[in-house]
Amino acid sequence: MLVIGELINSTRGEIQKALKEKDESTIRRLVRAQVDAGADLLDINTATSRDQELSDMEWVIGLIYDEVGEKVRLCIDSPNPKAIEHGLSLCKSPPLINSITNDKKLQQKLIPLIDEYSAEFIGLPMGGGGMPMTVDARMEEAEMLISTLQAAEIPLNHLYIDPMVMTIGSNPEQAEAVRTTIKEVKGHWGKDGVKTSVGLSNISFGLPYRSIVNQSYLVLLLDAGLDAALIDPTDRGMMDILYGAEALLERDPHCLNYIKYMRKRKKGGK
Amino acid sequence: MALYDDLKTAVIDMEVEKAVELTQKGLDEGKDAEDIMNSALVPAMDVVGEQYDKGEKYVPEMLLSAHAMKAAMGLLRPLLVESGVKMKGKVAIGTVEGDLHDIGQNLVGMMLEGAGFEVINLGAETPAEAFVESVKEKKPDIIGMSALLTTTMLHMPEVIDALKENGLREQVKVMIGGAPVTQEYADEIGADGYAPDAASATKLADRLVQ
Repeated sequence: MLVIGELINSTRGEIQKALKEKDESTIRRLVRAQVDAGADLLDINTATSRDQELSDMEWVIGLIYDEVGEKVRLCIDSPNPKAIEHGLSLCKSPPLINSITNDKKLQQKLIPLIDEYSAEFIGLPMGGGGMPMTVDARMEEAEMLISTLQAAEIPLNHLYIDPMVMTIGSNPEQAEAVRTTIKEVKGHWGKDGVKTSVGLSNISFGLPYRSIVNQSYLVLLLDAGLDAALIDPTDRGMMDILYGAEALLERDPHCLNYIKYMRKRKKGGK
Repeated sequence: MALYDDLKTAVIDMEVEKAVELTQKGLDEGKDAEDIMNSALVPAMDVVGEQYDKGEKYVPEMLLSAHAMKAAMGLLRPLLVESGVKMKGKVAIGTVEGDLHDIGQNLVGMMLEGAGFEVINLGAETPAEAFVESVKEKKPDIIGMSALLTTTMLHMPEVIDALKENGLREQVKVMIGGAPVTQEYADEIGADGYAPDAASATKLADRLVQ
């Protein structure tokens, strides 16, 4: 599974503060920690900086490349197409866009960017008509998004459908709906290369010991076929579970990734 | 009063049926609806809100307590209306346009009801016009706006502008909240108040209707 490190997100107080104070060391520490822990991509969201979103994004990307080199992949996370465009222009490795929806205005701006940068991107199966609460509603929106992309000749193997995880604290039935959606997306469009991704930690909002719920849910979603997730890779239990579950699900041939991970972990590296 | 203590405990302990039963018992014994509300239900939700803020209670528990309170209020409300009891005030709440995250605002709504406010829940994805309409039609004392996304937060000043354009801004107080929202932002867009969580939202509402 593709691990997208979620920590550089300006809705987190620590990051909002670091952006405001141009506190390099906090950003560098979180970048280093996530990459060392095994993040494949780093999500970057500076949207709460508003009119400084673009310059803050540039500052963060500069720090990332300086800290861990230019090979690390970036997930450009913004509701603002201008910020996404700016982020893409700064990426030195294949980018991931987070995210597109069925909103026509957003699509008009993002589809040309996806095309220009041959970018991978996360698609939310929603339009303007409210949050899809059922598997069917999610699948209808996914189908709409996919046909729009096909019409624009965007390769479907660049798409990650994110069925939108909600907390079981208020909507317990949604855990299973997301799991089923992942299975159905993979069943319908897996052959075209469509993948799935989630923002995992939403599942446990409002509950105690959130990482237990997050980790358990990760196993269920991996079993359903999940391909990528925004998680906190510095949560060691999460990474342990990820490698263990992938070995069990035959997603890790000969358990070699698991062995490699544990060998490194034994040496004291994360 | 033992009955009020039991009712308060029932709400705190999320016992819906017991809360309804005890409320009915209180009414049968001739107790005043307003007194039941103010002496048992409101203090119960105060306790729940405090426990939630301290991290001692969690979202599902808070929702169930609120459910018990609401069920009890179902018995009291007609009587309160009949006897013309004034609620503390009327609050119209909604999550702004484009934002589907309504858990937070629902919690705020329940806490406000628990604190004795009349709540009009406009729900998720409420466009500016709907806020304006609700002010025109329902004449709330306060509108509460929630946004959980950095993008949708930007709709808050649009709602305030729309109220101004319709000459309604002076009639109503505006309070805002949600993960990306700060006091600074509230000041910047000219809201009357900001609350970081559900329990402080009720305190803020109390202050705004004073």
